[in-house]
Amino acid sequence: MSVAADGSWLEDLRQLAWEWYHDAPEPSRSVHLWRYTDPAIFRIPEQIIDATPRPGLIAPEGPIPTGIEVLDLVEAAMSRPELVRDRLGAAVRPVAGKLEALNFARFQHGLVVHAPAGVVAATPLTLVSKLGGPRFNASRILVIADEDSDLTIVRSYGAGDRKGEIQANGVIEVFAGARAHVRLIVIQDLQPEARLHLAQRTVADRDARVETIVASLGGAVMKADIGTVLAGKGAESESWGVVVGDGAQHFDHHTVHTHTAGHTRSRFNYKTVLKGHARSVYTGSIRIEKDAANCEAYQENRNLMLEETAHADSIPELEILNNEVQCTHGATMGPIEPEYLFYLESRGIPHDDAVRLFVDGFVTPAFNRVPPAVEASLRGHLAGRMERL
Amino acid sequence: MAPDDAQAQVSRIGDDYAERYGFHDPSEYLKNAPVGISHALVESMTRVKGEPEWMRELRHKALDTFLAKPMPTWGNTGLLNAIDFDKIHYYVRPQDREGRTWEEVPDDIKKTFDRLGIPEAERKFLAGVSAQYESEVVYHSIKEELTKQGVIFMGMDQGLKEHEDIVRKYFGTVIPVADNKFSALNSAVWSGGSFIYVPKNTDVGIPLQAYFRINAENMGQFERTLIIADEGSRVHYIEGCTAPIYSSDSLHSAVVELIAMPGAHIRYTTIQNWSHNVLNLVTKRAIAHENAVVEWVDGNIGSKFTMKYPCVYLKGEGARGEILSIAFAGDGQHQDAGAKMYHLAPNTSSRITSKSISKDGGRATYRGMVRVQPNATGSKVSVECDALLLGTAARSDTYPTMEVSGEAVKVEHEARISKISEEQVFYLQSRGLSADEARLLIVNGFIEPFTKALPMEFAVELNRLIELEMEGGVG
Repeated sequence: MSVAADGSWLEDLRQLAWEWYHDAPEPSRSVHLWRYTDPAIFRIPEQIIDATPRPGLIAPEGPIPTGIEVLDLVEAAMSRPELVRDRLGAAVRPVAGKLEALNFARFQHGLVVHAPAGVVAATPLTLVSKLGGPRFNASRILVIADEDSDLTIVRSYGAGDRKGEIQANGVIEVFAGARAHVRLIVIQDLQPEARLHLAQRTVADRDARVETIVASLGGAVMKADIGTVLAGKGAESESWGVVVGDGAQHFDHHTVHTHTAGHTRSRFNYKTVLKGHARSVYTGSIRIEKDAANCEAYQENRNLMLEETAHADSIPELEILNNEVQCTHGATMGPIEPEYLFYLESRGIPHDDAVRLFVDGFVTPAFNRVPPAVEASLRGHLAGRMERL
Repeated sequence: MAPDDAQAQVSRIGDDYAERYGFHDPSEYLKNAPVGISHALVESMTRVKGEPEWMRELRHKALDTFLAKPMPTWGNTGLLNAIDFDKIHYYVRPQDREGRTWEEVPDDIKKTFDRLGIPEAERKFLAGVSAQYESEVVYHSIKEELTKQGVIFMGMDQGLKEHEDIVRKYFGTVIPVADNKFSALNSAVWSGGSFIYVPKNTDVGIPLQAYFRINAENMGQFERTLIIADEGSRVHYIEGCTAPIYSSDSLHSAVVELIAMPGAHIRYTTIQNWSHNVLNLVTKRAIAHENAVVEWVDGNIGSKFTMKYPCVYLKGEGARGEILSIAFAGDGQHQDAGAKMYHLAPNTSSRITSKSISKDGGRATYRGMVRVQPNATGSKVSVECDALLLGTAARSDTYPTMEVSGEAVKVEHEARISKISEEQVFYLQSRGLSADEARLLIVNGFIEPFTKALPMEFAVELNRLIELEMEGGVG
């Protein structure tokens, strides 16, 4: 394809993606990715799909850190094709699935976050979407951290003024260059009727370090497909997840860690707390490719069941094609150990507070890795969620 | 059409198999050892065996199910889709079985017999040269002892003839015909296998081995085994043996059903060592009633490709299930094995321990399912999967599934994948062992929890077998 400097290349690709979306069958429930979540939940009447640009759908909160560029995605496609063209849709491919195609074709607001080589952001960049407005919301973020840069991004989905069902479709692509250090924190605290489909992929180059957290607290249904490709020798990835659900909330998190380069490490830890009729689905895979020698991979999924009516599914998968490897995974489901509660209650702590304390200790190790301001924000959201539990 | 008519019509589907397919002279038909599967074959088989009407019906319906069911889309689709069902002999009458000569048996199989020290008579049987293993003397005294206890232990075909009431009550109740494509196939063309009934409160002191009453029927391609342990009884059944079983048939598809009545204890031990041309697609499942215990001890060493996931339905309160398995996948082999536990009643417990070794181009897959139903309060599950990778081309996969409802349950799953640590090898070398000896020792240590669960002579043979498989190994 010839490179048109006017950005029509993006228009053309978006048109193709729309056609692909239109013709693609619904996701098949026979594959793990959709085994426990009915794709019909994310079916949208075409008349409400609307790509009218909505600048402000993703709003930076607070000052943009010095040295970091935040650009409109469509404008950047015109003005900075060299930055955008090879990366957009390369980590979360439009043909990865129907909903990924829909996002590419009809995102209403997209941002490019660019950390030029060597830039170390002194403060986190916070990007907030408060979902009000139309029923269909689609946003897209492309993060490019050039070599030796250091950047923390908080992507927050907050409750907006819209009542009733909301369909939100989010895509986040992250490219961490050589020796770059990127922290990406996604906080989902949407209104109770909202449904969110999130696709997130990070590509980590040589000696890059990527830390991601997803805190899934609100909404009616959340389906997230989160992955990291350890593509450069020495790359490292740490992924944390915190899910707190009650009522009839349905969470479905899928993770993919692909080690394509040797001497890479991934560590992964998802904690789930469930009450009422809430359901958490975790499916995930670690894959060590044939040529990726000397990798380490750890995968852990722990589910705390606070009530009998809660339900958890866990499928942590490993595919190991190289023998020079250290790899373990674990999954547990169970209640709070009665001894803990007994101990706390014998010290005069009321039962509900004891449960809250335990849950706090269960999930917060995930929060220690982020800058204090971000940690405070995460704790605030969690405390709010626990109040409602 | 009135609903009643419609229902009557539906219930009549498949009733006219005899009219449609029953025109062959069954013996004449089978004498020519037909290839391929058809209702005519099923009809001939069932008539030659002189089976009751219900079994005849069951076989025909099973064949329809087999033909209608799609091939699984997981496991190893390349090998599965390459099966040519039209080229397989589904039933050969014992008198038509063609004797193979000792010369036709591949050298590597002969070599393994040598190394394992298998007696001459047994070798010929295992290699398919003779149809009967001369163990009548041993078997006879055991048989007397069992008869005294009221234990029934015989071939499945004989079981159907002599104990039709029991067989009819339980056959296909644990693994329904339509459970999967290969259970349907087995139900249509099964032959051989064991039938065991242990009366109430009877402890069968010695392990029952198919080996004692071994004959070609027993090791068939489509064997069918049914074991019923009545209340408070106890039985250990051993299927197969560590020595390689040479078969020129490329498809082996067995169905094994176990029923442990309240308080009963069944242990079922298998060491699968088919020659490397065999696709081994097996369905094994047990039902454990109140306070019953079912243990599957399952070793997969041979075959080109195995799909086998022993399963326990913990149906009664306090039931316990245990699955202990090892898989060894050498170059060109794919062992897709695993375990399934369904907790359907309160206070049930289960433990799965899986060890796999992938060597050179081998691929070992653990595929598991643990489900805890909402009413299974107070249940406990523990799963442990360890995989060892030997050689750069080896591959190991872990696909566990856990579906858990309820608060008062405890589920734990762990898996570890590693290679043999150089430090360990170095340490053993410093004690005077060669590198190969050190690796063998480490591998034998790795599978020790499995070997410990075997009767001694099996454990010894298994260790020797692993030694053979490890020869020339890369670390």
